[in-house]
Amino acid sequence: MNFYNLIISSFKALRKNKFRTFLTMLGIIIGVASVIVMLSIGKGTEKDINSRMAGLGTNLIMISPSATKTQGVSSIAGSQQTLKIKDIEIIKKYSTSIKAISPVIRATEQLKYGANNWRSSIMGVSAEYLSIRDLSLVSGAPFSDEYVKTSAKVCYIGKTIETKLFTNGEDPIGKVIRIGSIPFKIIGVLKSKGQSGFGQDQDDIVIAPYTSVQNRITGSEYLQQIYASAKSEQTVTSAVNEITYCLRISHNLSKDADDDFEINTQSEIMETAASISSAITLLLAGIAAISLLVGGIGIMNIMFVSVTERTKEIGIRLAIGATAFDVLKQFLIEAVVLTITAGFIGIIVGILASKLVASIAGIQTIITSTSIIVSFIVCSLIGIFFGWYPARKAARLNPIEALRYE
Amino acid sequence: MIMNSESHTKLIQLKELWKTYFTGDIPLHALRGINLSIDKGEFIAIMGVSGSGKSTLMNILGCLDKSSKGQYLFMDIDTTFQSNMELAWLRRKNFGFVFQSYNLLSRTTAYENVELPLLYASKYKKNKRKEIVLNALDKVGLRDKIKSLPNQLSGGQQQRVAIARAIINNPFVIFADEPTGNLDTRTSFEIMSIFQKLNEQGTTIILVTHENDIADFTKRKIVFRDGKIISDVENMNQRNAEEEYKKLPVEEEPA
Ligand SMILES: Nc1ncnc2c1ncn2[C@@H]1O[C@H](COP(=O)(O)OP(=O)(O)OP(=O)(O)O)[C@@H](O)[C@H]1O
Ligand SMILES: [Mg+2]
Repeated sequence: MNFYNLIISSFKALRKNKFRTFLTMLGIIIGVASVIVMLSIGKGTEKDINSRMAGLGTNLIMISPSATKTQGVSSIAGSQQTLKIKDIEIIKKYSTSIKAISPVIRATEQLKYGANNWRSSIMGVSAEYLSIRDLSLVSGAPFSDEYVKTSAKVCYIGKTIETKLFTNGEDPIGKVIRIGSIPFKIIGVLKSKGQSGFGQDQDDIVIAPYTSVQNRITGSEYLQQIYASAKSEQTVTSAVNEITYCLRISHNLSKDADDDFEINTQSEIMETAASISSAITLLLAGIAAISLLVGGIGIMNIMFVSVTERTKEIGIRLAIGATAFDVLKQFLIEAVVLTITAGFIGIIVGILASKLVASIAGIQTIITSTSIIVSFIVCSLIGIFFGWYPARKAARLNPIEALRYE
Repeated sequence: MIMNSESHTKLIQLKELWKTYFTGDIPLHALRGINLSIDKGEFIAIMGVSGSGKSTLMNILGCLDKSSKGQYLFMDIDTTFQSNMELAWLRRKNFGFVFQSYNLLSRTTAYENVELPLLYASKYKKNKRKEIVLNALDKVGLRDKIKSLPNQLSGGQQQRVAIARAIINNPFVIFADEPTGNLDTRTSFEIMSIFQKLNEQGTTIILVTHENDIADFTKRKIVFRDGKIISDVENMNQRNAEEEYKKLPVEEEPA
């Protein structure tokens, strides 16, 4: 019997037991659909993280005080106070690979405008911070060094702050808000950056000259972080080396003392994020693969039932000219047709479901052709693998005994 | 090479053939040393009481089963040493089977049932297959039932589909184990007339029957008892099934 006729007769055989066929396929359909959905979520998240990471700024270098050991107990990174404005001045003087550098001082304060209240984080930075983080203004005046020199009570606000404080759609530029109890004048609104790779709202932010934050809010000379950007991707490493060198001098560290600061680069963060997201993808796909396996066992089970039920038919076929190999092919192809049909439906369901997930959960999902091709191949393999044993059982039947079977 | 004048036309030769089943406590000898030879074109009735080994013999002759001892030569091929694959090829090329219980594939149309052996044995294209299938169905007078499913056909019609299926590959031999066993007299005669026509065209037919009426339509009667042949005679006055069928009283239709 040729391949075409075998496939036709497989479909006929499967149609004879429509409901059972459907139930059997359901396992594979769910398995394949979940593989597709999981992979599309994984891929979407990965792309999302990447694009948001890129949005952090170009060639970003972050310097934080390191976790120090006080009597053998390490405290949280950044809890130590070691960074000062002096460090920045030294780096600026000696480093050739750095394009821009800015201190970062954070404070969390209550913001008030009229009757509206909002708790947010205030960042004290220098003018260069905007270029480091790729921030731009939708409206307002550029960040001038003058503001830093004079500890001006001015600030830039993110989109979220604008919507929270200016509920009646007023133009925030020129308005005075209170940060804690200190009045600050809004001189610009930042362009929206959306969620960060870690789910933070990057628009929920107030930026002010670091001198103003230091002098009027925190009252401390220490910096929480220093942000810098390298001139190019190629100079990131040398920039990190230069910064390390400068900071060790600035902090008077002896030769064998550990760094009292920590330097992270954007690419490091991106790598970490990528490895986390691929681990999640793998986990999701693994769970989905298990359901596919369960589906495959269902196929094997039903094929065994089918062989037993159709013992008489097998006997008839053997008597009218089928060889054992013909019978083997028939049942194997039936199993493969079953899984591939199920796989096909599963792929369609998977695509629809991932679209649904995208629109309901608001997660980005990306269906790759690889995931479709792989599901298809896996389905065929499941069909062959789980169909083999029942098919062999059918092929080994003795014609006379099969014919006698009732 | 010296031709044995006795064997060269022989289709089937059995030499001291035994079949023993070992299912119970004691071995059961279903066939005890059968010697038999059958020529091309013969029409044989195998008779005997229940359990005398008729079906066992048919299954071995049809290569669906193997003997325990002895030799079975089909066209001078010793089947004893053939692999299962070779036996399957032998069956599909040379044999057609008709069973008492018809053995059509259920939920499969008459046409598809008849076509099935062609799909296994030939590489004919769809149109060619259709021509052959319709021709076979013509021979059994069922051309108008091609789309019917087995459960929509009477017993006689199902058996005719089975015969069409058995002859589709132009076999040398048709093995029919009690083909009329489930049928009434009229229908049995119809079936026998089909067999007689096939035999006239050269097909060798071996059938098992309990009824002398049916055996009278064949050319040779072999009687079995306890796994042995107790009589093997030529039927000198073979009756014509078509004529006998016409002579049968037409049953009154209930008013
Ligand atoms: N598969 C088997 N296993 C064990 N014994 C068997 C088997 N098949 C047949 N027999 C035995 O072999 C003997 C011959 O059986 P067979 O079916 O050939 O009889 P038969 O002449 O065809 O009878 P009937 O007219 O009832 O069909 C019987 O005693 C039967 O019980
Ligand atoms: Mg019998």
